[in-house]
Amino acid sequence: MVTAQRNTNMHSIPNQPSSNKTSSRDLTVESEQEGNPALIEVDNLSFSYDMGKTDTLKHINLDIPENKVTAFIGPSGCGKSTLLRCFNRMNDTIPTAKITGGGIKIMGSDLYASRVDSILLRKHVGMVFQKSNPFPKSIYENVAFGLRIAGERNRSTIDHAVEESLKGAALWDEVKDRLKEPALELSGGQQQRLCIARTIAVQPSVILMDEPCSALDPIATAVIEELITKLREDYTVVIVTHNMQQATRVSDRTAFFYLGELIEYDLTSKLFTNPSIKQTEEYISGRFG
Amino acid sequence: MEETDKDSPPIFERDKAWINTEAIATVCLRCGTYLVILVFALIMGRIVVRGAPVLMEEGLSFLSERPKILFGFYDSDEKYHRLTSQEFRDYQEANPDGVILAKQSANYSGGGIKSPLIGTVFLILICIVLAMSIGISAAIFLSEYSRRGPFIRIIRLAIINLAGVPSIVFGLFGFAFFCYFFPVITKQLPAERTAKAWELPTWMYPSNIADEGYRIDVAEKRPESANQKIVITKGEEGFEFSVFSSRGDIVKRVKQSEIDATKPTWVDIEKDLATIVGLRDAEGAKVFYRSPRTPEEETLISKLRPLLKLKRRLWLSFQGWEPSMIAAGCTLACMVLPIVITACEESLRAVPQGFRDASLALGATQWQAIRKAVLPYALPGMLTASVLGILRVAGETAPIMYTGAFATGDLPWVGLKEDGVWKIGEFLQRGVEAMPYHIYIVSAKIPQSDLVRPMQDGAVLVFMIIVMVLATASVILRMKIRKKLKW
Ligand SMILES: Nc1ncnc2c1ncn2[C@@H]1O[C@H](COP(=O)(O)OP(=O)(O)OP(=O)(O)O)[C@@H](O)[C@H]1O
Ligand SMILES: [Mg+2]
Repeated sequence: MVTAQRNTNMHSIPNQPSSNKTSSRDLTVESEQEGNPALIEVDNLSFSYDMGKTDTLKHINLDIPENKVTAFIGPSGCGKSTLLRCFNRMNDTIPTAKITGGGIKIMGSDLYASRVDSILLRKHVGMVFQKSNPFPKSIYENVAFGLRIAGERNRSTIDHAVEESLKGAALWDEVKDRLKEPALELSGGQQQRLCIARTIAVQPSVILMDEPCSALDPIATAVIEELITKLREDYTVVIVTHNMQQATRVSDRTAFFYLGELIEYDLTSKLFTNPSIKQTEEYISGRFG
Repeated sequence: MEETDKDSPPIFERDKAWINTEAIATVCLRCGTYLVILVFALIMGRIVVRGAPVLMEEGLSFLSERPKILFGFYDSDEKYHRLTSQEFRDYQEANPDGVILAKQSANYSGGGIKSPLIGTVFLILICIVLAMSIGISAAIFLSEYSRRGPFIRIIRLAIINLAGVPSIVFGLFGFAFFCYFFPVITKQLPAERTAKAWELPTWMYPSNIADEGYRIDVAEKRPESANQKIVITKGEEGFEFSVFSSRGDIVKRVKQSEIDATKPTWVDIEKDLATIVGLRDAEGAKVFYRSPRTPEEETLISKLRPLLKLKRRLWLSFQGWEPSMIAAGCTLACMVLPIVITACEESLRAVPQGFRDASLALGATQWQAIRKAVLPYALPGMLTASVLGILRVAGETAPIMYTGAFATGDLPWVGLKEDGVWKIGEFLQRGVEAMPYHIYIVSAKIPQSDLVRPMQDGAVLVFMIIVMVLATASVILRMKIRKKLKW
């Protein structure tokens, strides 16, 4: 049973979440059964946007397995993006944002230790944003951007990486003849795949996607979904989505959040067919949210 | 018919009130708008109507000639002549016994406006370089790096208030600060006043200066004193210079100890047609020597060199630049800084946050993100907005009239070539004539007469045209770049 129980006692005794411990041990067991160890371990994480006055995320516990697609669902404002942005420390750019409790480990090492270089980290944990945001440069330069800022000068290395990344993002065939053309002339779906190509060009191990298809039509969405399924082979993908069908189609596991708390986390097939918590059931059946 | 009307008035009957506020408001607003056009038309019309004929008549020479003295007079046929000094001389030569009646003259009113134009160009260039580099840095810091807090609020308040400071205050500030206080590294302390100064330690000297060590400049350029005599003798306290006039009397005797390298000591006896011995300034002795020198004198000089210990010195001196191009440029830059900072911040804000996020998510440092994904798209806007602001202050007279503008027809590089060497370092410390100051001079500072009119009208028109062309060009340029950089 992979379930992070919503434990009301946790608020009063956050440092002794005994029932919690059991659940995370459960998680590990499950992961081992699947043969995929946890790549990201979130341990009792609390996060605040206002220097700790109010917690936006409350006591989150979940393990994200390697080479799987994990989906975050939940009503608007429940903190999905916030948690995602904790994974690559993008929240560092907000001066008042602060981890108020617990922590995150990636590949076993603490993400928020003082010696961690967030710049280096972000090369390992890439991110694709909700609104596709290619730079107003050529297609080629967009994909090469990450390499260039990393100091890569060798022309042929960059050429090769650009080609591989575009192939990896299932965009190569469409743009191989017009790499020098402005990226902003691409369609919305192509732009989003370009952003994925740009992200995988720096060879991250994790790709975070925050509602990558919310601005796309169904056909472009289908292409990206297919791509995500393919990406699973080489990357660990965490995707935030408002689309239940999408979650069932692409993800292996799903986490349901509500008001900053993790309500239920389970195999996608299990969570959508047989949720163990009533709130989850109500949400996925569209009765609230 | 009338009666039925009275009995059942239409539901939406117009208010019969005598004062119709709606109509009055429309008329007032309309008048206000038209008044703006009227003012603009009056100004432009007057300038064009009066300036255009001048430009037609003078042609290109109005741009390519320096301001000169203008003479106006009637000849015997009652024909009116307007001639510059050179032309006047030529005229007199051509008509040695021509009658010159009612002769008037006016300074800076003949020729053209070459030197003020060039001066203004240099002022604008200095101002652009300074204001843009400081303004862009400040804008990047304020909008990308700084976090909200009382200190940043104070800075913003200061910027807003700076924009409201009257231009004359900037002028006086520039005069006090840039002309007479700004710390400069100099070889030469001011002669007429005291300025706080510290001598720089030798290791700080640029190599080419430190290498010169002790030096005496021996200038070989006084042909009139070729047969004069300078005798250097060894006195009780070192060397003594004795200068003899052509008649053989001693004109001046200077002891080595009397030569104070820190003070300019002129031993100016040129009037007596003797050789000049002297110390020109703090950089070392300048011995004007007759030429050719005798071998004994040569040996003496070579012995004298180390003994005089007139080492070249550098000072960090709070003496300012005196009224000069650089001081005026700095003053203008200070004045335009708030405009530039505000404009640059706006341009930065117009760049989507997504570009910053995307670069950061790709592992860029904040500076990399700004340099690669923000600045390139903000620069066009920054440039045009700043250039517009700078053009605006380039038309100001008050900030430059005390800080660097001179009523002169000379170009700023005149006399910079000394002994065949261009003294480039001094260029920025030259005063210049500038367009607004030139206009001010010819229309307020010299006796007014019909002679001056054409210069006033022509200069104003040219200045207006230049500013308008540059402003339009930068706006068009921005639109073009905007089109290319759409997101
Ligand atoms: N930069 C920020 N500063 C302060 N509060 C923020 C910030 N970003 C988000 N929040 C708050 O944190 C809470 C969670 O926001 P978050 O963006 O994580 O929600 P979400 O689950 O991603 O919602 P959505 O599905 O609408 O994207 C919200 O109440 C939001 O108002
Ligand atoms: Mg979100």
